[in-house]
Amino acid sequence: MDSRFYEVPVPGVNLEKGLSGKLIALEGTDGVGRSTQMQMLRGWLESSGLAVYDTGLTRGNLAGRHIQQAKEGHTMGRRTQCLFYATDFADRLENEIIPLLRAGYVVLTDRYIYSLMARAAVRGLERDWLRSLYGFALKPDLILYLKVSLRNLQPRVLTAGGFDYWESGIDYLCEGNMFDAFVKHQNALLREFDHMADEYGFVVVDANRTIRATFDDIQAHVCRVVEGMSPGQPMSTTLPPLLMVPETRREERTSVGDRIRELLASLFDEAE
Amino acid sequence: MQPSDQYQGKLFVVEGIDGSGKSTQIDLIHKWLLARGYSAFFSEWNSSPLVKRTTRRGKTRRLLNPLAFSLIHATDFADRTERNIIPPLKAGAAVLADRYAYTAFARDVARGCDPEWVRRLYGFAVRPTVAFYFRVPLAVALDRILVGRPEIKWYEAGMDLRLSDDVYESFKLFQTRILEQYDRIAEEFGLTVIDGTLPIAVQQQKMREIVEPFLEGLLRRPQDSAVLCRTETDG
Repeated sequence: MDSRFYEVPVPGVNLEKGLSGKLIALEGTDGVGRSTQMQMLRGWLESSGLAVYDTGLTRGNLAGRHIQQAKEGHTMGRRTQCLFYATDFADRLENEIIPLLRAGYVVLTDRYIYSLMARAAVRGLERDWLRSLYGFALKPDLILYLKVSLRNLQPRVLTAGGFDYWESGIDYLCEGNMFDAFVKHQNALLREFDHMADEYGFVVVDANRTIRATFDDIQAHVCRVVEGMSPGQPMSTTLPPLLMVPETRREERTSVGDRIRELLASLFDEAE
Repeated sequence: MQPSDQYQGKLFVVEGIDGSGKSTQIDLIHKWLLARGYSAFFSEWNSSPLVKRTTRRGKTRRLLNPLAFSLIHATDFADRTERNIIPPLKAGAAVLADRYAYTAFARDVARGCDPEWVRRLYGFAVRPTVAFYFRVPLAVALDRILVGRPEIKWYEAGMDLRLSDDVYESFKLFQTRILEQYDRIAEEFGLTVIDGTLPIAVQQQKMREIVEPFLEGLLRRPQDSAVLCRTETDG
């Protein structure tokens, strides 16, 4: 058996020639700041001369759009939803992730099988069944788990547009309002992640701190994984200008657009 | 698989390669049950409206690798289990299925998926009360299917496995692999084997004899629902 996979190989995929790229998974609950960190990571790696590809849940060509549409209708049973996500994941693994790793890319994935398993487990699906289902997943070279306390999570979620139907777990919880459901659901998810941390070898990153402080940690871990891949050695840990996050700002920014607007505003301030 | 005796209803499924005659037989059982006054729910492989577009997209654009092929069918099966199979079983009705998890065990493994992995994947399936397996020699099934050289679809022919460039040749090779798997499965899961080369009426008689003892106490149709018969049959 090919040890790059957790339990069973992907049928028809031969990894004997090896994968020259690296697979890095960013995990963590909703609103923890994964996408911000992904963007900074990508900018930094690319400026260091590495080819980067990023992917995330429901971004697959086969099933991605249809999962989104089915979620809007709230019509999916929990096992059906779980398997639909697994289909999307299998599609991305085989058609995007593995080919790009063969080609020597650094593949960043915003969530991996762990989020999918956690979401399904809190909804009552059997952990053994889930582990076996995702037995075909490739073991990442690095799993960064952005860990945040629920107390720090709440304001971030509220700033980012409030509570989402699925992210609050209201589809399976009997809470009368989204806030109570959210607290219960996220607590349950955090417990699932904690269970998985040892088993799957998560590298835990404290995401209760500023974006920059969190990123510094991430950068140090990623540096070790991509060592030797960069054309210029040693790798610089300086961020390209657009991705600099002002130290003074404690609020998390959720999109590059926000940061660009912020940067432009500060430039105008200086000009005056 | 999950035990079926936790439900009052009964689940009857038919399995076999293309051209084994299973769909004809389950359709006749369906009509027989309705005529006898029973409520019978019919669920067909690959029919969930939720994933239909994805399956269609995958098939027409040939995006499905064996793994994704397996998982999209499992998604379809889960949706039908949650929606069309467990609720009527709980209500005490007869549920009929044209193809069941065994189809995945045969096809997905013929496509290279790990046999144990596929079996665990379908671990949530309700074990049928009776699972009929229509055994026919490959030549008989091919004769029935290939008469008039119909159009055989890409995945039906197993063209994704690159067994042959010729659709008909590929179809034969793929069906051979599936048949091998079915014979193993029939033994492993104790499927009820029906000789698919017998005349249709003889096969039907055997099936009815096997189904009959399970019918007592099953949910009956409302007395005045005769006109609804057709819609239910379609459904």
